[in-house]
This record gives sequence, structure tokens and C-alpha cells, in this order.
Amino acid sequence: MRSELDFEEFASDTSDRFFRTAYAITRDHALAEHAVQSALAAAYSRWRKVSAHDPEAYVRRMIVNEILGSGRRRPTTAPTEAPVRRYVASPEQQVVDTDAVWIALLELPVGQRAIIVLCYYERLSEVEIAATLGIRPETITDETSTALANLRRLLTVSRQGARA
Amino acid sequence: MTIELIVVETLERKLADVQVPPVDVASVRRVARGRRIGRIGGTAAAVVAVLAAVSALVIGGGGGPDTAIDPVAIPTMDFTPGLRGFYDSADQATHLAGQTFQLDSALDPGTSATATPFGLVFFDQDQTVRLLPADGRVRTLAASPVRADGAFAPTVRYDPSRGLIAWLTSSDGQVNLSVYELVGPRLRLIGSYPAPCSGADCDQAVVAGIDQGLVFAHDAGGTSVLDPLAGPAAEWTHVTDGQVTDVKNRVVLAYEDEPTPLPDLLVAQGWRKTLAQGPDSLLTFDGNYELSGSTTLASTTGGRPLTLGIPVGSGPVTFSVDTDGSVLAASAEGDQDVFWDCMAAINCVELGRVASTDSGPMFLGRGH
Repeated sequence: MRSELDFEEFASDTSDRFFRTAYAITRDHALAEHAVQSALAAAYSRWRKVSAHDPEAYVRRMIVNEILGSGRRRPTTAPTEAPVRRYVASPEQQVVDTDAVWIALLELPVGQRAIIVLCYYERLSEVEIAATLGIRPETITDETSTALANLRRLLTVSRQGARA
Repeated sequence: MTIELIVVETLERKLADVQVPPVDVASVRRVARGRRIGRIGGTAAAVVAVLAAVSALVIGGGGGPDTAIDPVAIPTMDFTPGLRGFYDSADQATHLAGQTFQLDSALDPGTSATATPFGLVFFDQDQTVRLLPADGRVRTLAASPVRADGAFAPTVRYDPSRGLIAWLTSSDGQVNLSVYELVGPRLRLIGSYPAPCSGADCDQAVVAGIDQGLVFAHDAGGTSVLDPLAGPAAEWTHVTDGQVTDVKNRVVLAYEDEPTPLPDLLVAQGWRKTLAQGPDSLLTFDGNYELSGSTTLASTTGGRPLTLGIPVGSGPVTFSVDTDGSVLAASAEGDQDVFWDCMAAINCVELGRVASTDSGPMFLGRGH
């Protein structure tokens, strides 16, 4: 059994990445912070059981469910401005491409964005993503393909808009 | 490069630059202990306590005091027709955007609050600035760990023309003005400046108004104006020895014994001044009429007065101006205070009735 000190270490070690994951899915600082804090509180309240298995998977699942659940409970709100600094160390074209991809990612439906973030940021397997979202791995395969196709479409539209 | 690799690179780069708030383990533990109590006891009260604690956690971001505002009691609201905020002193009920609910003492209607398109901005007892948005989830805009000094009371006003919000708070004997751009639940600091007061005068320092980005503050010694968009070198300019009671659409409403001309700074920007009938007078959204105790609104342009389309009550009319520009009015009728929302002054709809109390009708978000 892990101790309370272990929980503190766990929260300290993981919360930054959890927040970034939550932020990428919610597009909202406050909602991301709320989701992470709530998930950590849920984990702490049953830390003995949670820590015996895979606490990261547990908290990640709670975060994603909180976000997707709140999206179902509340009407969709306009995305808040992404609180990110401009990336200035790369060549200009690369910055433009990165920005365009980021904007396209933010335009995906929240479910597809969650899959993309879990797959390409958290680097989870399809089985792990399926367990996180509580759906079948086959569905993850299909949804990932659909999300990438949507991304390509959004980027194509973006480039055409830039040329026009 | 494949789309998959581009996505990986984009996520890594963009998310690496996101500013991550520090996790507050103590707050997490506190909420978690509440959850345990809820599971063991299974009482509704415990569940409410947990939700309140979660709210406090979200509100405070871990840094502020645990002000237990129960999110269950605050419904989702529609601010499209304005906030329409008023308070029922007898039942201690908050009326906002057509909804009625009870908010705990964190929202003291006796303290300053201002209506913004993003919700009601108000102070708690520790001068922490809160936002009550349409989703009913109270958020902290700016945490302050200290109570106000002496008799000083913090004040806040919003400038719809520039999307700026300004407040005065005190700490260690110093009253400071903070000016931010308000974007939803977020703030972008414009600047922070010492208030134009000294000594005991600072107890009475208030933000009188903010319009076109200019902040007006007054204390016992008079009213000054500051342009925070001018940068860190911005300085206060004396406007009048009297009180500026409101500013809207480049109109200064001043309550003063001896009329004084506006400073060049304001004249050069097309401002004009009109004399207020009382220290609580307000201006309509366009600055063209004065709202001062009566259903008859005096023109500030020399035009004909306007008569508000509400019944003449038994006492003076209390006013506020809502986020959609409509005039909110309240007057006594028998043993009740009746609240109205008047668009274009004549098209008035009744918002509600509350039992009259000695404190009189109270609007939320009036500014001060």
C-alpha cells in the first residue's frame, strides 16, 4: 500500500502532464484545472486501491470522463483563447504549420480530439485508449482514422484560405 | 512528414508552452476527505459540503480561502437580456437573469459588484475578486489574502467600451488600483497603480467609473482620472474637488458644489461634463440621460426629459444600468419593492417583487 506521501509525489509528478492533456481536450484552462483537481481528489479518496494498480490510468480516465461528461451536461461554449506563447525558435514556415495544425486540432469534435490527444500526446495504445474512454478498441481505430481525415480536411481548407 | 508525426510534434510543442497551474495537494486532500464523508454518511448535507468544497477548490485554484459557494444552488443562466440582478434582503435571495437562488455570504450585496457580459464580478470578505458566470460556477479572478484596511471597502467597475475592469483594494495601508482586460473568466493585466489618495482619505476611495479605458476614482478630496492604457508611466489627473458619480460614453456626471471645467486631457478626447442631482446619480448607457431618484430622466444634452414607463411608486426610484444597456429601476409599491427592466426607457417589463426592507431596493452589479 502506498502512503499519503506517495500520493503527494504522484500528484506532483503527474499533474503537469495531466493538465496539458486536459487542456488539449477542453481548450479551456479553468475546465482543465477543475478536471485534474477533481480526478486527483477522487484518486486520493480511494488511494489504497487506486495506487495498488495503475494510478495514472485511473486519474487519466477520471479526467477524460469528467471533460466528456461535462461536455454532455453543458452546452458547448466557444473555445477560449489558447494561452500559449508563440513558438519563435523554429523557421517561420514551421511555426505557421504548427499553428495551423493546432487550430485544426482545436476544431475537431471533442471525442475525436480526446482520442488524438491520448494517442499522439499520451502515446497510449488503442487498447489503453479504449479502456480510458470505455469503448471498444475497434471503435478507437475507426475514430482515429476519421479524426486524422478531418484534420487533413481542415488543414486543406486552412491552406486554401491562406492562399485566397 | 506524415500527418501523424505532424500531430505529435504540434501537440508536444504547443502543450509544452501551456502555463500549468501548480497542483494544490492540500486542497485535493480536503475535497477527498469530503468525498469519504459523503460515501460513509450518505447524507445530502455531506454531498453538498463536498460539492461546495470542490467549488472552493476550483474557485480558489488552491491559493485562496475556502469560500463555500454551493454550485448546486446556482442554476445555469442566460445573460442575453442582461444580468437583471437584484437582491431580496428579506429572503436573502439573489435574483439574476430571471433565476432566483441563495448565495452564501461570499456575495454581500452591500459590497461593490459590477455587471459584465461575462457575469457578475464581486468581492468576498477578503477582497478576493470573484466572477459568477452564466454557468453558475463561481470562479476566482484575482485572489487576495488580506481583508481591507479600516473602513475601506473595495470597489469594482467595468468598461464595456474597452472590455476593461478596474478595482480598488487595500493592503498594508495602501490602496491600489488594478486594471485588467476581462476576457471570459480570464484577466490580462493592464496595470496596477497607487490610488490618488493619502492617509484617512483613502478609506473613502472608490472607483467612480471607467469608460473609454479611462479610470475615475474619488475620495474625500475629490476625483481624479488615469489612463492605464498609457502604460506604467500613467499618472492621475485631478478632475474635480467633488465626486464623479458615473461616466459613460465620454460623459462625466459630477456631483460638486462649484462647477469646474474638465481637464484638457478629457476635453481633447471629446469628453463633456454634466452636473449630477445627487451623489448616487447614474447615466444611461449612452450618457444622454441622468438616472436620479425619479421616473423623470433629465437630459444631459439640454434636450427634453424622458419619463420612464413604470408606475410612480411611493418612494424614490433606485436605478442601475444593465449589461445590455437597459435601465433597471426599482420603486416601492405598498410593502413591496418592484423591479423593472426598461429598454429605451419606455418599454419596461417587471422583473419581480420583493418585500421592502429598511435597506431599500438593492441591485447587484450596480458598481457601488
